Amino acid sequence: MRAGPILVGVDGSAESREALAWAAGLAQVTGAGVLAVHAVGLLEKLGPGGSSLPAAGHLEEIRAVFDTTWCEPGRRAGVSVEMQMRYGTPAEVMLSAAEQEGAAMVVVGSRGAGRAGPGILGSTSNRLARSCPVPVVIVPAPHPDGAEATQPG
Amino acid sequence: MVILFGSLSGQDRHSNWPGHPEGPGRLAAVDSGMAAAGLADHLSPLTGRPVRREELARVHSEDYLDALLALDRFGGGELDPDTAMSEGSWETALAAAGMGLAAIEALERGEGDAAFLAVRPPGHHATASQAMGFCLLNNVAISAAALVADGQRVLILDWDVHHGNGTQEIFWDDPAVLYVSTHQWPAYPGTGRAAEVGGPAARGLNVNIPLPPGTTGDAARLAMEKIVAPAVESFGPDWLLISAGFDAHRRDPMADLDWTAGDFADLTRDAGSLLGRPGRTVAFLEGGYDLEALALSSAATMAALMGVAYRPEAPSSGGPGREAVLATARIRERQLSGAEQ
Repeated sequence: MRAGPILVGVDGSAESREALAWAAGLAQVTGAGVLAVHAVGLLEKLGPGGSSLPAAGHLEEIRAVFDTTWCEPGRRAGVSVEMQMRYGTPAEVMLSAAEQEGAAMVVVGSRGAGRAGPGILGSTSNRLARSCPVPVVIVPAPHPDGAEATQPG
Repeated sequence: MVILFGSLSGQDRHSNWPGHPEGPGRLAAVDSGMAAAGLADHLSPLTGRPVRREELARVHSEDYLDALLALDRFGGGELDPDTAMSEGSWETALAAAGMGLAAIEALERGEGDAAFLAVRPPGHHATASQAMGFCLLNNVAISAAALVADGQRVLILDWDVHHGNGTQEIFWDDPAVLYVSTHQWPAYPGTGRAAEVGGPAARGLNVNIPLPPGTTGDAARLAMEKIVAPAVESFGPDWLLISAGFDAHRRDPMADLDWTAGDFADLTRDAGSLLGRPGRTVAFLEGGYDLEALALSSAATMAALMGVAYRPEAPSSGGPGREAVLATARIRERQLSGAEQ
């Protein structure tokens, strides 16, 4: 595994929490850093209930949830998690972050926090698997009975 | 003045998902604004035409078009966290793209002085190979590419509040297209820096004017005077295609600029005077998610295309943004003089 952080895509979905837990497990074993990246989309300007968030509060609000909730699986594993927010689609954001940060690998959940049912085009994991220059790990959805994610080891 | 009005109102079958801000109600809002302004009787209805695969393929990759078609056959699905296709989305997207081509052909036949197209889904975020930001097919780019294939030079003026990353990418290195964008910065999709001035074959033909939250219309007018007018004069376009998003309006929930309907009227007037020739302007609806603001702003734009001074809201001024415009002018000057050394 090349030097560089383990890049994890996070969006608040159960799958992305699972991905972060898996990455944190690997970081414990390897000593690599974990960099959690969130792609800020167009709709995130609308807060809960569809009301507009002011520009100044928009990113801070997302960052607060990112820090306190989305990164919690990393902290639970005792791993320090760096956070980045970038505008764009998840796939493009992860590809550019992987390149710019010299990531050792990219870890994503099998699907994100979408609302429109299953898509067959342009899913983040599919696109990363085709285009990412470093290894990509796709972590499956949490087991329905609540079992922990498989830990790397 | 005869303004061609191409609308998919009542015909569009595209839905992202229930409650999504980019919904069919947007076209009804354009209709209501037009009626309230008393413009309906002065517009000439435009009928769209089918768009051919090769016309799409000038802009989008064959793989991407195949993938959209496959998703359409699947009944729709999610494309990114903001964007989805439903049953009927593909048909509606094709109709939107075809409306642009029909408008150009009608103007070339001398049937009107300008065209306004109330179409959806919007297009300017769609890249050659990716749907994003509510956009499937890049409508304005498909029309511009058709004109370029015919030997024409095209100015695309994109005043949607979000940067048109797809249009920028598609024409990045095309010397026959001058792309100008005013947009809030920082904001989605993260592109649109002033220093992005175009590829080696089109140096200076990509003009980004990033504006801070709260910017009022006076900054946009300053940008037209200080940055856009010289670029247009030097380029010499045959056509003006406007990516007319109305989400820079102060009421819009998706961004934080402070423009009014009067500002869109002024921009339309100023853009028309830059081109200096009638019958070669087409405005494509892009964003705009507050329905009342959309109604007022689209009507003000249509009226300005007619040469009618209809300003349901006074132009705005006094906010930030003028310094950002002047800074953009300096950055562009540095970038372009550096390229010449």
